[in-house]
Amino acid sequence: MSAKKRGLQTVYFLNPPALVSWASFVGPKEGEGPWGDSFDVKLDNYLLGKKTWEQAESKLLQDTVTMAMSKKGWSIDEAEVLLAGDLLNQTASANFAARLLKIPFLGLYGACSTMAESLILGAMLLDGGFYQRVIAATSSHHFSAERQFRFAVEQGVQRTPSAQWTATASGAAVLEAGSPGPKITAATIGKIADMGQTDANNMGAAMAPAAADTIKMHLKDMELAPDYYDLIITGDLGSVGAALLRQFFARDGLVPPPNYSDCGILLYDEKQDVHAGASGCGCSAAMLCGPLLAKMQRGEINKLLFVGTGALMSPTTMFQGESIPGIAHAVAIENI
Amino acid sequence: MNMPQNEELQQAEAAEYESLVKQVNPKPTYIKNSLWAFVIGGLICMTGQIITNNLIKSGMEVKAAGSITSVTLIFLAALFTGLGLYDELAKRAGAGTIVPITGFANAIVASAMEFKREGYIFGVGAKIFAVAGPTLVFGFVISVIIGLIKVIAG
Amino acid sequence: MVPLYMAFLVGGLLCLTGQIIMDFTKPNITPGHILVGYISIGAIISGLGLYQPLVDIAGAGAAVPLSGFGHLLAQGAIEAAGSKGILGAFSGGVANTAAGITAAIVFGYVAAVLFDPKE
Repeated sequence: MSAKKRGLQTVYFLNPPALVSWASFVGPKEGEGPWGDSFDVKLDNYLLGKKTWEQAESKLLQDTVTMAMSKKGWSIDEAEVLLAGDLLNQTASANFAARLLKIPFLGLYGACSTMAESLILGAMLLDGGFYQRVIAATSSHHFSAERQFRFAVEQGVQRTPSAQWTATASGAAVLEAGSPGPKITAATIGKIADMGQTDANNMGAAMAPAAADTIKMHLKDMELAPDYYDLIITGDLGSVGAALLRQFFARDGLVPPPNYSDCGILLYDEKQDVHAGASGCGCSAAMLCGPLLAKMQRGEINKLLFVGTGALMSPTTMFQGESIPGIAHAVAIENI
Repeated sequence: MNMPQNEELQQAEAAEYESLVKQVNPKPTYIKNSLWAFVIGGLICMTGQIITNNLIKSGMEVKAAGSITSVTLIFLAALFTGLGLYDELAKRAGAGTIVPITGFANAIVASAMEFKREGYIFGVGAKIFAVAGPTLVFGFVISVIIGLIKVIAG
Repeated sequence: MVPLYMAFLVGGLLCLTGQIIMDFTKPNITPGHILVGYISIGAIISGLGLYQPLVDIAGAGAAVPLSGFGHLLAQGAIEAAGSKGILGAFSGGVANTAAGITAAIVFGYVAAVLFDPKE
């Protein structure tokens, strides 16, 4: 077994890359949420001066990546690779943002787990000595996601209590080898878990088993106590998925239970009528590249396990009667 | 040897998980939803009746009055959808706005508005029936079957 | 003429039934399924001659819900089948509901031209 592998699914970085800069943009609804002021930019509209939602999302991602670099006084071409994705077919937003950013680009699809996926791959590229500085980024846009996965904006629908609201948000993180900053020390790439959930309005239930599996494997592979991390946070299980995950913790013998929260629950508050919480790639990305990393910088959190969760279905497979495959990837970020 | 066992185990796990999910899942606000659906649905139908009654009073015959009532309600639904108000009502009223013909109109208009960004031919033109298509297909097929039964049975 | 409260009552009840189906059945039964169900069941009940009595007492309360649209389709097919045979069976339903369908398409197109989806 390689010196960098731990247990069955986890990799350990001998040269842990650092998160040296980050940026987060959110839409109006997210800006009105409890963490609104912890994001770099709160937009006041959803079109960003463009004609379509897809173009707006592309600009959103592009602007976030640009800001993450410019915070350190760098221009885009001072990063060597962009690892980015989004929810749209053919990762349209990321492709068109990359067109303008003009650096080598790898498009990723992990549904809402894309931020975790891009961080893991970025860390591997750096720890492996291939590059010095890479960018991991992702975005989601409520209206571009709705029209692809669900309904036209003006269609009259009544959302169920377990439904989640796709966030309009984006996050970008710059990873650098051998620099100070919160470090990515280990990562666990998840396996797909599908327990036969078919309700497209209950993503949390579809993804919870995957989150449970990845977290359990990570702790086991790294031989850590369940309360080792100051915080284990999932991307967007929402209130239903989070409740289910806590049941899994008990069932998997994670005692004492970890200090656990979920970005989907945190992003909005009750009064915003989002039912089970936020979803979308941008949800976990913005929360990480906004409030969470800020807390790490201030030393309020020193050991974070960031677990991106994704529901890997498509409208076609749903209509064909397939269930929803879930996946979760864990990224350990520590102040060392 | 192991395959059937594995599948059985998988199915048992899935069933167990499903019952856990059902337990944890918050229930819809049944009473509130029912009241809203009843009242709003009733009001939309009543509005239709007011229109029909006025048309009949002004001398129109019943069938034509019914047709014009439908078209008027469809127009109002289209207007409210265009103004972005229909979905606000539907959020609360659920079936009260989906079951009446206004729901059908809303689905068509919303799709047309949304997909205009892909152009008027392949955006609006192709996607306009994305949601309402199935109702028309099934409605037409069943009506033809009924008609054919009438022809055969006399 | 049909009293307004009857239209309200029957229309409300038909919508309430739809809401109960939406809330109590498995999540796989979507509003789309409900619409298809209403138009189909309305057409079938109409074919059996049982929907017209409902229209007679409830007026718009029976005509406005999508089941009423199914009723128009069925009645159109039956009448045209009676006078024009097989050709009527095919054309009757569509002919009877043409005004409503065309109105929806035209207004939809106009709305698309005039309005943008609101945030």
